[in-house]
Amino acid sequence: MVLREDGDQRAVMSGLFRKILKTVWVFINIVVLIALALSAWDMHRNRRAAHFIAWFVAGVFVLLAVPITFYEVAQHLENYRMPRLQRHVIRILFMVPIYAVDCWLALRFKDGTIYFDTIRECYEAYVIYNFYTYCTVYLQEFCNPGLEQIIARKPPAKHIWPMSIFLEFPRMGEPFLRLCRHGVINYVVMRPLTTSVRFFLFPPYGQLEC
Amino acid sequence: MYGDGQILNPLVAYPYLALLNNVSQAWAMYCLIIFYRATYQELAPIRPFYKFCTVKAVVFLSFWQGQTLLFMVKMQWIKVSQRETKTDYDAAEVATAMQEFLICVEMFFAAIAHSYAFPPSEYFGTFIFGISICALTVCLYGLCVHRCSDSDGTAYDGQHKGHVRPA
Repeated sequence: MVLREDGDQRAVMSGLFRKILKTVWVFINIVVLIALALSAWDMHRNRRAAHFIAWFVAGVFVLLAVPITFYEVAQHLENYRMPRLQRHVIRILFMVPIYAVDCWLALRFKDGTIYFDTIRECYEAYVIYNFYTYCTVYLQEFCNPGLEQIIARKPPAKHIWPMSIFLEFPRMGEPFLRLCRHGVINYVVMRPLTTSVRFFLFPPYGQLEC
Repeated sequence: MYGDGQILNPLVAYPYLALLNNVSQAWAMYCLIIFYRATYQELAPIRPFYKFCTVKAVVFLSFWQGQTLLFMVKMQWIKVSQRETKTDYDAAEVATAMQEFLICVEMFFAAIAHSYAFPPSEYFGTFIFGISICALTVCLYGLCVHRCSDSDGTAYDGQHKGHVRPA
């Protein structure tokens, strides 16, 4: 169990390096946010249009948010020890840059809002699904009796209040898992469906006005 | 024909689609909650609570924020005098733009929250004899949790096989 000394030293150095990087990063963020507030106020005073200021402020926030996520994702990829779990984590983390960039573009190009909304809402459903899968994969791979067995050994439960009036709780085990899975997948199907209906009803497709 | 935000107009598609979305979203959320309620003991090593909170906060709060803004337009709490503010936005477009602007700002905080909820350090760890320390701690923690649940009477010989690296 003897760790090589140079490896040890390198670990200490990289830990230190990370700490310095983090401090510098926090400092830069604070400076940028103060500068942002001042410049937004200055623009307002010089009678710039409201949407112009909004683009500017939102753009700066996006530029601050995206590197954080990319750093996180890079860290995960550097320590890619449990690919089956981390795959889902990375997909969830990517929600931030996708949402942020997408919203900024929607803000900037007003006529394209519907296209950007479509992308965003579909990704949202995908993230929910990935989160559910992340939990099930963890239980399946890293806990001994396996997912179905764990659930099967749970005491029978009841629905939470308003649902308990209409619905009977499924048997713990496979039926319970099926309920959860279908519940989550229902959203993954429904969201793109309603969004695409909206997409085709919107101009230039939905020219008919009521 | 779509009628964005016209929640009380039965002739356009919007109220139906919104209702469908709401029901489906609420059902998905409810399923996640009952799943969490059933398995939180086993999920404890990966700190599911923060993960649930961050993911839900981003997805569901952004949705309800949009609905609130549309409601505010409906109640005419958001008004636009286009001449004064030098824009070509109408009230509904202002609500959408506000939603997008708020999401841009929130994503900054969401990025920070994500870095705490899904830390890469969970998967760090030096490999000693092919066993990751991190997986080992997960394994030990899992054993402790199962001990506790054993003493509560819900007995099973749950042992984490955390050191097994999935291919």
